[in-house]
Amino acid sequence: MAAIDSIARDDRALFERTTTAYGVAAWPLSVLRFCRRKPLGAFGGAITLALIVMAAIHPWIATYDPNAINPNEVLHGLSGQHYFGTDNYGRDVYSRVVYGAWASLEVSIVSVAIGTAIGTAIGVLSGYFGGAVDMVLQRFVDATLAFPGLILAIALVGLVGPSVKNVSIAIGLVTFPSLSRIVRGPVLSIKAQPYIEAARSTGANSLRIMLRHVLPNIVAIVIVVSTARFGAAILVESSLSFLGLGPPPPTATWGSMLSGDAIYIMQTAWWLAFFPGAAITLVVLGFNLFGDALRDVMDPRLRGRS
Amino acid sequence: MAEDNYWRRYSRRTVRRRSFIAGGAAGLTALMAAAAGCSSGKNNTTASTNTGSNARVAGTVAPAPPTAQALATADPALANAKRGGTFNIDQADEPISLDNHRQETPGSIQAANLVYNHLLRRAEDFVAAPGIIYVSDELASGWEQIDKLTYRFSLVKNAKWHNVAPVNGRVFTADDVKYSIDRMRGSDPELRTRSAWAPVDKVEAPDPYTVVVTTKQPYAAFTAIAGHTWSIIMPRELADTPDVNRKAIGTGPFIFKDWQSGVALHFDRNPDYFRSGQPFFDHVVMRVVPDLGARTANFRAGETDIWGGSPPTIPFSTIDDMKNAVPDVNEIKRTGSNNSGTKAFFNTTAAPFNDKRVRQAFLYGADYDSMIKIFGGLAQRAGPMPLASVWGLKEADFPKTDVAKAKALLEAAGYTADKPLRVKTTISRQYAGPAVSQILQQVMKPVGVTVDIDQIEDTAWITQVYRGGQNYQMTSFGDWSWEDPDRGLYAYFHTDGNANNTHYTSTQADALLEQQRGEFDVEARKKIVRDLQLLLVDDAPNVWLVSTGTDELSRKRLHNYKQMQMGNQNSYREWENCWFDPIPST
Repeated sequence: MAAIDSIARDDRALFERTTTAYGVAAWPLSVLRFCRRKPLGAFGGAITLALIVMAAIHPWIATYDPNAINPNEVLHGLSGQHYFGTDNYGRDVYSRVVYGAWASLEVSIVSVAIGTAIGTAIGVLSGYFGGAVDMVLQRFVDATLAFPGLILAIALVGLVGPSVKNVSIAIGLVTFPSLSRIVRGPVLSIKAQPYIEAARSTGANSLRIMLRHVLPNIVAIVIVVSTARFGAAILVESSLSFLGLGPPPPTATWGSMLSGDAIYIMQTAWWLAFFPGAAITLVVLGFNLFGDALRDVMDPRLRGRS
Repeated sequence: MAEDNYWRRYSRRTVRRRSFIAGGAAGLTALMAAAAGCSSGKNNTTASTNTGSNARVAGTVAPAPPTAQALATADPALANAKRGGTFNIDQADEPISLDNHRQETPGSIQAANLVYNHLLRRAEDFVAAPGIIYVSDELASGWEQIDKLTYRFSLVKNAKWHNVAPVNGRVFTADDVKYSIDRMRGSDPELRTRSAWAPVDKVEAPDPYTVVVTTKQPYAAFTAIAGHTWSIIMPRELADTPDVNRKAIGTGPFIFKDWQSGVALHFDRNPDYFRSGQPFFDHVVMRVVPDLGARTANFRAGETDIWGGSPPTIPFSTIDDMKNAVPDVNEIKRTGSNNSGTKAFFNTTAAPFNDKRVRQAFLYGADYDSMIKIFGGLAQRAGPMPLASVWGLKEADFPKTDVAKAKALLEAAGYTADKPLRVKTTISRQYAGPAVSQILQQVMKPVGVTVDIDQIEDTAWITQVYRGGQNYQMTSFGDWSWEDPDRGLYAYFHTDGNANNTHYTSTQADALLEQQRGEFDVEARKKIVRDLQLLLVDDAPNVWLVSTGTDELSRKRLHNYKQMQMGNQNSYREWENCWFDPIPST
């Protein structure tokens, strides 16, 4: 929840700084230059990339079926066979962490996609049409923002039942309001640009203007904000799983691996909680560092400094 | 140590001088009556003509003194008891209702049994000791079976209802017992007690301290039912109102104070309890702590005095670690205890489990050896009645794992390799649902059955699945069973049983269930119950998997504590006998 709030704050700061930065010219920077300027961001990017690679090839790098129980190896420690030990059903923790990367990425991609799509759509509509549409949509956003994010996600999942799909939708619905605010600002100023007027004078309808002239100019902002969102989405997914509201068993997710059994067995088997916990920390850190760096390089006022 | 006190207490009870004299006097009176030829006819078939457990009951405690005095005197085992302190219980599942006639979830039973009393109490642990004795240790100060159909209870005279509106501390009388029994056997479909009390024909209260119960048919389980946890005696002032779900006013050792949903239930000592001097705790706080990690932390921090459970949620190796971390503890281990049976539970009216062959595919397909290994040291096969009880089947009675046979059964039912069986088990997060289901899912893989897990909210699971819903295929969880086969099986597997949640129907099982109900001879009844269980195992409305065993730690400062918090339903009533020494400062 705190993560969502802080992200929301970051978004607001970002919004202030980027309202003049639509149409960022220096895109794309070379990767090398990015690494030199933003070593921390590059580190975050490397972690992010590693997660994506791990998730993409998870069936091949996992050494065991993540859900296969093994009665002869219950709660075994770290070894050559089980890099991260086994849990209280004799399942391989390493394989579960690897599969958990996929589950986490799946949920975060879907939820960020949902959040971004709804948020951008509302932001563009609201900024472009203004007036009554703006009023209604933004009050709806206000109402949604009034709920603490995690509580809303818990309520949504509690209502429709836990599954990968429902958890993704819930997280997406929690994250769209602040994005719509961030998008609305630039849209307001783009709307006043001469090329919009020119487009309108050639007979383009509103839909075409929004899609062809407004949207391309806010893509950079949306990308930056969404990247930072991935970390928050993974954190919310883990929190939900920890509370037993994540994807149902036996799906291996980092949050569910941390919950219940693992926490109290920590004394006996520290590896049960350590590895999924470390994975969450690393990935969220990675996404946040990468997102921050991306924001910095896309903001002309910050470019060249640091 | 606590166990020693317990047995000493019961051994002394049987030779108490007052009882001996009273019993002698009663016997003498009976002799004189017989000599005078005053009594004749079938009413003379006294309990002494019965064999088995009832006869033992009659022999030990039935001719109890007609007064309540004997019970009011302090028990020698309690001579060193100290008063004071707050007893904290961490309850995993929040009570659903405090009306035990309608709810029998662990939390509901635990909370209500602090407040309410019963007529009788079970004196022996049916797992550790093979006899089953129901003693007049609660609201009945004595009882006797007059003939096969009639029981007479004499009641304690100094019991009062808690001094809480609307009952306001009124004196407890036979009328309350009559009211409660009539309530338990009422027609309300929500009543969990209905099947068990249905054989009762009429209840009479000839005087304020005597209750005579007549059954319609010989009912072997009657004393077990009268002493059962859910057979609480309730005041009509409360029980007739909807308040009964969220409020409790009883005659018991603790007075219900409040219930903060999702947080805790508070109880205060009952200063007017009919056993003078008892209970010893000043307060009882039952906190709702669903999270195992939090319960563990509370035990380590010294906030609670009991902790433990069953694998795989609590592997036994972690209990050993806890023993090292918290040295001043006693340990109670139980094999095949009645709360730790895991099972696959089918809806026998809907596809695919309306086909017996599909259910049997689970029976033959499940890999029991693997499960026993995962559950560890105390695990063994589970049956309709716990294997460790006198009624239990033997390991050899169960079919061994036979994957080929399971596959053949599935094929016969139309599920081939091209069209494999895929089922959904609807589970709750509590009652070991996730643990049992994940293991079941894996052990059924070699048979070619895919088990999908659908985890729903706890209360929804209770009402939609466990409470006889129709819209589920199967569920899987850890269940507890009961001391008496009638209680443990009749309501669940009789066509008309009020807890027949698998919707199982079998004329053969119905006949055996009726037969064991009327059989007073324990050996003969054991035979019927055995046949019944073999039939149930084969028909497989449930597939009983593995009984995990339980291991529990209790702090040494908690005295006279002797049973699993959850492992033995009777233990809920024993808090009145427990005390702290030294009393923890809180």
